Amino acid sequence: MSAENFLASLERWFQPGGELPEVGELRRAALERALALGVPTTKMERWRQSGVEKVFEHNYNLPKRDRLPMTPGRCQINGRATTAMHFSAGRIESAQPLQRLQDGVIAGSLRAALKEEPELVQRLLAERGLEKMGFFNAVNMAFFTDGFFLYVPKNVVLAKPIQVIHVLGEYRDALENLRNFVVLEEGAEATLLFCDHSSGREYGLANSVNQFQIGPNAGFKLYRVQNLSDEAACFHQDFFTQQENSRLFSHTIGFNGGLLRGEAHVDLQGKGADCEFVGLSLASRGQRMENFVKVEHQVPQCTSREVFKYIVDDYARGLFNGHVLVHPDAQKTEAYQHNSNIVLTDKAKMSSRPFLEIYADDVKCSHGSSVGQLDEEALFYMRQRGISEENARLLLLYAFAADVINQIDIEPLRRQLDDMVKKRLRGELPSCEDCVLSCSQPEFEVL
Amino acid sequence: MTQKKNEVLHEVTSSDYKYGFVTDIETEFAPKGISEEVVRYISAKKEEPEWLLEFRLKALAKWQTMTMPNWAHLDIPPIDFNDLYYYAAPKKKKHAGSDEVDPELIDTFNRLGISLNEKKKLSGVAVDAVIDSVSVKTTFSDSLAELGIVFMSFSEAVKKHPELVRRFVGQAVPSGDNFFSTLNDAVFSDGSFCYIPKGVRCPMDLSTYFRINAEGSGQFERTLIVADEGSYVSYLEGCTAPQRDEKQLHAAVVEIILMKDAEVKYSTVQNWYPGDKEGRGGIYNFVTKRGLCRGDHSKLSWTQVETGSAITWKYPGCVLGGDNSVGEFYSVAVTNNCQQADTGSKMIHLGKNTKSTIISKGISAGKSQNSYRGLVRIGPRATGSRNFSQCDSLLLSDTCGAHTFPYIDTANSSSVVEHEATTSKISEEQLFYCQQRGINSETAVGLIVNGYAGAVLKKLPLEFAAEAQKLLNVSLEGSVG
Repeated sequence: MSAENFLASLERWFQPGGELPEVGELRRAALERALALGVPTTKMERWRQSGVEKVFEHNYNLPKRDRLPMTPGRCQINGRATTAMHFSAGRIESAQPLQRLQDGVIAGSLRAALKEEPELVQRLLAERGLEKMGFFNAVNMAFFTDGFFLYVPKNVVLAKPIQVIHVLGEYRDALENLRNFVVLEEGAEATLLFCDHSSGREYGLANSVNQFQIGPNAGFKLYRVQNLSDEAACFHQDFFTQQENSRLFSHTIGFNGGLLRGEAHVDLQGKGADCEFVGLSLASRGQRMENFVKVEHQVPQCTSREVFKYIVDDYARGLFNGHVLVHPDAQKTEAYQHNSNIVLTDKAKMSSRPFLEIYADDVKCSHGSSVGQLDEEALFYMRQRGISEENARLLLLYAFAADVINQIDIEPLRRQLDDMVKKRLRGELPSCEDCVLSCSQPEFEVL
Repeated sequence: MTQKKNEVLHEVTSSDYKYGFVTDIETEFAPKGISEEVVRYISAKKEEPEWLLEFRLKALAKWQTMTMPNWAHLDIPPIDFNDLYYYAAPKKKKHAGSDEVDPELIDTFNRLGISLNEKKKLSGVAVDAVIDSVSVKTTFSDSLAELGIVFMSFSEAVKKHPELVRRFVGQAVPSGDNFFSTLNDAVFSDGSFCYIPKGVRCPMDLSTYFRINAEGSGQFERTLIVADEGSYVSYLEGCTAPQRDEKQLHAAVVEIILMKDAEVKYSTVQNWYPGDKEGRGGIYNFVTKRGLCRGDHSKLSWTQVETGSAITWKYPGCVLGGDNSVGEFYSVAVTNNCQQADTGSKMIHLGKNTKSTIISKGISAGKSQNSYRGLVRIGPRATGSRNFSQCDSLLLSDTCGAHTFPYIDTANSSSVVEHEATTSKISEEQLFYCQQRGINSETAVGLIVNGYAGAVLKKLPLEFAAEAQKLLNVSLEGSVG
């Protein structure tokens, strides 16, 4: 399939009165936007060095309703630390699609929310203007089938993290568009865990768009675990808006996946807002892992921190694209970007673009980026002490990754991911098609 | 004493662009615009051989298919490439002998502080002086020739050493490399050519001084430096232009080829007219500079102090082809008022154990925009390579911008790349400390900026460093408070 074919299929698929007629107008406008923009190419600055062009080599199918649901519970965190919601084949798998939880918290399917809370959802959908919408966002708007919806009212603290599991369908060349919304009113707090999996060896593309509104003094934590097959592609676009003194913590680990691209666009709109991004990408074989983070400091006194780590093995490719934009009035900004990478073979490639764009003078902004290998001296030291070379390497790689893992504050999740990272580094963690529940059974140490 | 000190301060902090005068000389122009006829005209004027004309025409055809790049963080008003003179040469006066330089021109260069008289010259720097499209005089050519060093204007070299020029031109910057270099390929006028033979250490600094004088013209010079095995040369480049209300285009190409064990230091103090405080006038400085370290153990070092030009688009680069070759880039870029600069370096590592260092210091004041854009690419075969980049930006006003756009691509498992950058304003504490000791704020800023840029300034040859330091202060004049 080519870019032209992809655009032609978009037109062919489009049914204004079909899926969710409530948003028919928005969808039509989004489709027109997508067609006008045309598909992204690696000639475009934002997509340079990325694997985006491969995405257009396929003949896609939109999800059908009669697909087999994923067995619930397979990916849940050990110890039932969370409330889980499953999405597969572009739909929620639950008898009760929209749940009213404690103190007015609403959680569940976007589809159901659109029926039950039409005003709120319509407003949210229309909020980000079309004129700023990128290609994949517009495609998502035109074709999304469902998504996760969370509303946390003023000063309510969500008792348990919610786990949102999205399994990419088992049918060939799937294109699944999920649109997730999270609204945290003033002083609200919530933690989410997004897990992305795939259930077969077929190629498919998950194109998710996530909008997060974080009200004044609200606190939001987002964990993301991605473990897909080497055939699958998964794009996430996160749009965060943050009001005064709000806090955001975003934590991503990419274990496996043919093409994982995470984009985060952060608008710091209220004074004193703070955001932190932490990411670990473990790419091997022919996998490609990409992170794109754009933080816009629009008002004074905001802080942002980014730490992204990559281990790139075999003939895999890693790409980090960070962009801190400080607007003219955003004085007293503090921004920090860090990207460190280990390239393990001569066929692996790593590209790093930590950008700073600054229009205010009273700021402290810095970034650092490094690409290197395991410390030979540390390896030698360990071998001297009788640790086998293989184990010494694993220990060093694990230590490199541990900074990221240790920042997880849900203990069962931390233990589980810690285990998964160890297994992944040993080459024992398969992507999900071979999953036999092993990821939720902590059982061994590295040595 | 105080009186004298005040005078110095005054000179340093309040002087405007002092090279903005125009020399009134008769100038001969090519027809306005760019076309095959103009290219043929330039080539004929220079009495060039057929192969060079072909080189130009091929480039012209390619250029006509290209579009101006828009990826840089620059706001470039549309340029009408057909509204320019691509060739402007001072007319020779009839009564003067063929080798004598017009006294007007000697006077012009004297006013710029460049002496074209060898006997008077004390500093031991050989100069090739280029005004508009022609080189008017190359000093010390003869004494350098005794060592086998070829140092002359490009046009002269085409006549006297066609085999050398033909062999090396377009090696570092291939024909059609980018929009501006291709334009230069087609219409380049004069520039310097320098060849240092095997094992020769050039006894004096070589330099080229570029001066734009004619109105409505662009300058498209081309410099080619070839350092043969085991040779060494330190090369300086300076440039100025008159103060005018319209913009002028300068699109130069500098190519440096280094053989085994050769070393070249290339230093630039770029002081083209930056335009006035409202952004009227000034030079568009769109320059392609690249060195090719062909031989093993060769070393190329770029040092630049960029204070002038309305818009700067410049990325001196090193292609590190030879094993163990070294590339260095030291830069201070100052922008004030409405200036824009998008500058940085490219380090392409191809050979084994190649090393590169990038130190870039950006200083922005007024309403200016100053960007660092750099590429470090380590190829799959460049095992054991090393890069260190440090890019700092200093902001002196709340209306300016300072940006950093590094691109790092690594494709092997034994190389190490490190990049770090900071952006901040001048430390209040340092300012306060100076002021406590009776130094006024403007001078204090000058001191701090000079200290900040010190790591780069000390890489400049001595006489250049003093000038660069002064320039920094002048460029920042009026930017405090």
